[in-house]
Amino acid sequence: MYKAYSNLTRTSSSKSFIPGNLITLESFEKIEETYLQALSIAIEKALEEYEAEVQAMASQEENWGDLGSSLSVIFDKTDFSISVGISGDENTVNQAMELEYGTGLIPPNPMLRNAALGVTTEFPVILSRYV
Amino acid sequence: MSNQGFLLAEDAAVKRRFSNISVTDDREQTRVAKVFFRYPEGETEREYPFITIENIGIAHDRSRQHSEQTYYFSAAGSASAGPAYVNYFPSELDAAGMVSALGNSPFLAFDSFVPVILMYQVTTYARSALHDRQLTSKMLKRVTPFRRGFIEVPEDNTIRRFDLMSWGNSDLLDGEAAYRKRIFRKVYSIQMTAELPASDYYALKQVTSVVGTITNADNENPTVFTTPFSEDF
Repeated sequence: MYKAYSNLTRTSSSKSFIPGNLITLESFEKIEETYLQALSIAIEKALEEYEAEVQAMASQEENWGDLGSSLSVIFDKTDFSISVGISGDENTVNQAMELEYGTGLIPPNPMLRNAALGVTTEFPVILSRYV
Repeated sequence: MSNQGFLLAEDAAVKRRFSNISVTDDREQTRVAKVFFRYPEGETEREYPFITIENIGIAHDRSRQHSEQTYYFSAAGSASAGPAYVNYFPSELDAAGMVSALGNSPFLAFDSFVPVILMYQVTTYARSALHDRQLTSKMLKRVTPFRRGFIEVPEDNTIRRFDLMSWGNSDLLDGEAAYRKRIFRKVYSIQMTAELPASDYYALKQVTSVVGTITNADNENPTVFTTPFSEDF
């Protein structure tokens, strides 16, 4: 499969000709596509688990309580990015932001930012169980 | 530098970083923003602008974790040249401090450090939009620039990553002014790298001699063996 790239023209031009068997190249693209699909499915399953973990953790926090279930972890397939957000009406969002950043009267309790940090520290461990 | 230890050394470094940030206006040439850990208590008179620092999280940074091994320090000798040589003890001792801790021992040994991420929320409070803009400008340009953030921790003489992850607008209405005045507030989320010692350091004694006997069990050519032997170091 890798033969298609063994004599790849070394140039930065996007129009450079890639010598090799076209069928081999198409096969390689198919494998890549299948791999990305499998990876996407694995990420989605792992994110479901991670989101449930984040929501459970937030629900145990004194101030977050019921708001914890409004936390959502979103996967964007187009650029493979993961973001953490809050879903709900304006009141829910405002309340969550006050808890997240604090108000002076109440100290910050950063569930959103800690969940975002967890995407790089804890999430890979969960993902490794699905790939 | 006194050995403050984990978190205290990092907190002190962060406070130093945000001290001496000033704003100016037509009434006062220089107003230096005071820096507090957490929001000042009611009895503290608030002079605007001011800055608060809050540690909001600590996480194990698995991506920086190395395989477990014993680290060594020596002022001179074979350990100095080895890959396991480390000349600082996180948040506590720099190279000079390690030499002092060494005393009369030839080596110090300690377990691998555990890499962690410290999350800080730094918040600026200002009464005027002008001060708020000046603070934001200085923060983003010089104090916590995107991409090039670093901070020195003199306790162990290390330079750490100090990355600005996000900043946001989060204005408040001032309760002391019956919620009629606005407090301009910017919230900065910053990550700092740190290490936790997994064990205390301990002194190792040096091997002074090796005494042994090698037996020629298979009656091979005896010229390759040295029996018995004693080697002094």
